[in-house]
Amino acid sequence: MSAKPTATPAQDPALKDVLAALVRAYGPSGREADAAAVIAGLIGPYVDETRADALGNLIATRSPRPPDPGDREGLVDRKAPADRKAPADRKAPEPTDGRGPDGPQRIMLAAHMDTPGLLVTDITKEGLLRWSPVGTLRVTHLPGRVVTNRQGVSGVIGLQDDVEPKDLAPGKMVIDLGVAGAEEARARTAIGDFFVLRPELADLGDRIAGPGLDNRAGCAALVEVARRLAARPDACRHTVHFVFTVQGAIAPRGVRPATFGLEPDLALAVDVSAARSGAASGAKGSDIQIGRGPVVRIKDATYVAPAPVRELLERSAAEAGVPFQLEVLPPGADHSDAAGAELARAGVPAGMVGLPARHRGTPAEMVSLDDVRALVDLVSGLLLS
Amino acid sequence: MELLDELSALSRAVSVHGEEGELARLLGWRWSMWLDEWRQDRLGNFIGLVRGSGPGPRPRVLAAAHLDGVGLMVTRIEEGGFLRVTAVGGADRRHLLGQQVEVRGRRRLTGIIGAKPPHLTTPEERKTLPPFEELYVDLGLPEDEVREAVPPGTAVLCRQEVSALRNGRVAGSHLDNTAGLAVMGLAVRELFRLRDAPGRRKLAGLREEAGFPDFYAVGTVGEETGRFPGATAAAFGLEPDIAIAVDVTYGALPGEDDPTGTFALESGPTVGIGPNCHPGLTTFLRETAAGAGIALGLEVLPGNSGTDAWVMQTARGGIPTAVLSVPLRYMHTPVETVSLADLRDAGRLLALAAAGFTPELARSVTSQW
Repeated sequence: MSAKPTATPAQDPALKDVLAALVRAYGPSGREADAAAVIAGLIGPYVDETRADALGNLIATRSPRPPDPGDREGLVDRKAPADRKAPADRKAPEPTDGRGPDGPQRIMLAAHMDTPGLLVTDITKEGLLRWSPVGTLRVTHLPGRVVTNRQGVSGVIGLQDDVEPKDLAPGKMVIDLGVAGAEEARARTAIGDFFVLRPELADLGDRIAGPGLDNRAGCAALVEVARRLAARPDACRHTVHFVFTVQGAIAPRGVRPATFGLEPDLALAVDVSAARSGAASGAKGSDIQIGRGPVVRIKDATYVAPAPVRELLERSAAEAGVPFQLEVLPPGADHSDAAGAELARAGVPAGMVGLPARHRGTPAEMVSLDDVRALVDLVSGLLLS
Repeated sequence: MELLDELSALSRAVSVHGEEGELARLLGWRWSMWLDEWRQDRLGNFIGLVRGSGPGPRPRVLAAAHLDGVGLMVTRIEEGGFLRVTAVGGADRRHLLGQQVEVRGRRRLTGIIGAKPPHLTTPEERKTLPPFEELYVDLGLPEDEVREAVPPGTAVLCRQEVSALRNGRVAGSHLDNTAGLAVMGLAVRELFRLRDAPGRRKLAGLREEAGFPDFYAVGTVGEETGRFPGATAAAFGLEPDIAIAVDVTYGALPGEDDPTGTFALESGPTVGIGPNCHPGLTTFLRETAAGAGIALGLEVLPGNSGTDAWVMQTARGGIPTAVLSVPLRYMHTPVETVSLADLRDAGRLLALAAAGFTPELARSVTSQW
């Protein structure tokens, strides 16, 4: 692949602007519509069509131009291995709709767009809000934080008196809106309302930190990939679906119906991988570090990368000249949209490329812009001929 | 066919989820003369077909036995070239200490999982098992050579050759689920013979005019992860009328001989009963076994059967499923033990049930809830 896209300094502010806009967008799991609207605005200029499906997944599609007769090598090698030695007449036909394994393919890039949230479960007579976490929030990092709901009503997370740090739990914290009583609280919120961590981005130079960068950083990467494709309109022969999925912070849920509907030949999830948090170091899991390039996930809680997908990603990274890290997680650890996409219909080869992030699940998730650019290099290199 | 050879050859080719290709292709070579066609699907499932006879559309019977085995995977390389590992599927820490392992990196290497000498352990340490994070594989190679040959993600397997014990019993690694695959292989051969030999069909008590269903023998990927991706995809893609998971269940052993949860070797295969098992189909299997004089145990499965049947049941608009198992001792250790007689009975039962699954049965059996 000759087209190794290069990041010029002039692109840097744009990437940071995209990230800032995405971090500001309200979208806890189950209430992603505002985030979807922001993403649609950002990616709209680079694609042919954007639409939302029945669950709220945002699907932005770029079709190849001009239409290609189909002489391209398939991305995932589905041809019979040379040593299979099955007589040709014994081989069952591949399920096909005429595209064939060697022609242009349908490729789905999925990034979940939801963030963790705080779901209001009760309003006390003093007007304090009891809540339950949606998605992964590290309780140690919550007391004293400012949260807001969709309408911009702010509150702070208060902790019951005399709670030892080791006993921290959502049940011992309330959201305090600073109101005089239950009636005033009900005027501003209701049971079932979602609060999110106040969206603030710390600009640390090449690295940035803020809440919800898992996975708004992945969403930003997809917007950048779309821009790369649009900059070279004839270079991609595949139909590319950029899918911003709902409810990915809970489980790979939104991605399944999206994959069912799109019937892709290959699905790639772009998500965040936990990196070592500086001082903390243990013997657990992989040695993923921030600033060392994107992650190719080999295994997580239950997903294992199929050998052809793993080879494709490693080859693409090598061809794009991108350093990458291999990630192997223990059972019960993380999940990504790859695990959901794989199960759609009669099976979809699925992979996951990750952005290393420190301090996941805290209000200061940290990613490196260099890693974002390298990930964009890897993914767009795979799509461009 | 020598059943011991089959188990031995298949078990040598087993790896963890993500690397089922070698075993899938081996099935293709070994079974191709009895199959009308075979292929691998997009997730790597092995799909073999014994095509039925009679007018279409014929009923479709899917049998699923998983290809993947339990094992370990390299997470990272420590200073000095030691490999840190994690479990893929339900690998059991208790038998890992002091084992020789196969490391399937860019080249195949032999490693060992050592343990502190007893002289250097505290009384407390002697009572507990080290967690996975503390285990490591020693290859005896310098660090730079290890980094070259063993990237993170490399599979590590406890490999013990399958060998014959007395009394038609065999022991070795990964009989979960090469035992199930071998049962499916026996059924493939038997169905091939039944289809093309009317006399044999009559002997087996099958009606001449009833026709013969299409039989899909599927080796599934990823069962041991508990997410069952292979079975999910295959059941959707093949759209069978019934689906039977062929797997292993707990063999009775001293101290674990509760007749409702464990099954003696040589007491025959078992069929599951519970919410994951369609009652009409299960009854049909029991009647078929009774008719053929095959002893069949009943395995109570009160929820998720932990087999491919769990996801096949909810594929598409719902598929009647059954769980057919053979008793196996010492599950998920490198010395899993089965009885060849149980495998032969299970293979014969699977073949007879598939051959007897006529269009009328497809309508009546599967409507009995």
